[in-house]
Amino acid sequence: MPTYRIVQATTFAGMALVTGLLASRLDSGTLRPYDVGIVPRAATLRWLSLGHPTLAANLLWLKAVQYIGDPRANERGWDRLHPLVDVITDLDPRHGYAYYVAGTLLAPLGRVVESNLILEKGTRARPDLYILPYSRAFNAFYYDDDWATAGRFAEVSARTPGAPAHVRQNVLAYYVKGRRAEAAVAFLEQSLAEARDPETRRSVEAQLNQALLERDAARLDDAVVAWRGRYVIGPLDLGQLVGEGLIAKVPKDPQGGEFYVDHDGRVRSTANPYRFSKPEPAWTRVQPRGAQERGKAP
Amino acid sequence: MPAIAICLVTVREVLRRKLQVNLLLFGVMLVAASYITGALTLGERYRILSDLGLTAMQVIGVLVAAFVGSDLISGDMDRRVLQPVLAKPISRSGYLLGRYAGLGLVLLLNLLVMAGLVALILIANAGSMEPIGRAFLEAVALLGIQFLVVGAVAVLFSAITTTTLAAVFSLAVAVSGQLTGEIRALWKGPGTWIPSLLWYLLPNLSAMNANEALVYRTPPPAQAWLAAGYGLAYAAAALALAVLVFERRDLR
Repeated sequence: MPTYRIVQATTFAGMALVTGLLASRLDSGTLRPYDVGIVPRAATLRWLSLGHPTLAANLLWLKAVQYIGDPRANERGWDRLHPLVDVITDLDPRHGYAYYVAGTLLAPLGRVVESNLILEKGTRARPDLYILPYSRAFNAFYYDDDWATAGRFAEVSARTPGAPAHVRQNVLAYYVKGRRAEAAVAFLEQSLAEARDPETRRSVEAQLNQALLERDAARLDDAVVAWRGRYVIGPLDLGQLVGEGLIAKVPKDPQGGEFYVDHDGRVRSTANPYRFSKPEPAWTRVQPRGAQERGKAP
Repeated sequence: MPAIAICLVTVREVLRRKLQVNLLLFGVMLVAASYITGALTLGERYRILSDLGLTAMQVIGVLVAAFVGSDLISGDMDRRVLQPVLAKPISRSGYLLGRYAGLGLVLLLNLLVMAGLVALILIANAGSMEPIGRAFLEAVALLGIQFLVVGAVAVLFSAITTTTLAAVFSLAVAVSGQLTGEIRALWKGPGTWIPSLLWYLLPNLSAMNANEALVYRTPPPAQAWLAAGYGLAYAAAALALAVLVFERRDLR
């Protein structure tokens, strides 16, 4: 073999070896959890995408998926998820799945404010997806103890075409627990007017009756609390509340029964003794992961 | 019908070009790669497959239109094959239009191959023919019109200047054409005539993008069809200008 061939082959082998050695020392990124260094601005990406904002959004979504899916994600923290999904949904406001995934992931990580922001943005951009306001309603009651807001978003969700019938029941429960039974009554009265089939009408009528009962019983509950503030026990009869000037008159039970005070001090109806339980404070429920250590799970 | 003969010769010639073959192969690989990329996503795989597939088709189609179109006239002049052809009973306009028609056919053939592959991928992903609906067919049709516009611009530049410059100018127009709408919408304050001028001068290619319609499987808006008509008119105007310039060009 000619000498120059040997020199060429040796040079190649030597350089390949050096390259391999250097490559083995390069940080391939597998040593650290996957992270996103910079989240570009939506306006910049819109320009760079040359008329393809959905493509830019989809490529960024792939990054978001890697960010979410890293097994060591909690070690790294979740600071970039909301900015990433915010940009994705700026570029492609109809990306319903991005709102949903980010919204449901962020809240249990203690990032409830970010979760609420992205779900509310999704509710505005995709009014056809009932699940977004439904999830926002869940955040409101579960993490924020804000039953009235939960009722408001559940109502938005229930009004979305295609929403399951059970969402109406959530609206009723949230409003009642948020002491806004009159809002539940208004919503259900409208639902009843819009109901087209007998089965739905029956279901809404039952919910409306419950809402009316809860509204009136809640007023009587307050009067009973005031009575017990004065006399510790009782009253034996609800008429006593009128005599004491705590209420003008005992309302009629919309379901045809009579109101009475139960042994637990709550007003119930003989026609339908069911009442929604009083809301439990948020601290009695499972706390979001990392609620104390912002964004980082223990 | 010498123009038809020129068209058929152009089709055969372009199909044999390394550039065309390589770009088409690259396009096929790019479209196939979208299938792998789609596996990286979380839910809604169709969204990634359709968007990446359509964009890959667009990139390759525009590159072929710009590079091959730029070489059609000026390349013939450089290779000194133009004079013997024009010595035959064929007008310069017939020659140029024949060359463009051949390029157009190849571009549509490329589009067909790539669209077929994207369709196969979407069908394999869905397990049914459902994704190949109206939205898909209309998106592909709009893409075809984009290719014809870029091809016409490339032929125009090819009739005016050298192959290299024609390719550079055509690519610049193809890229700028994706931005004219945004520029006009965002430019506020003094000098608004500048984006308006660009709007009328450059082809508004972004109006013919149907990625969003394909991703959400909705028919492109009525504006898209107006844009298609506009695209065809723009291509015709570019060719008319190319004929005008080419008729007067000194071929020595």
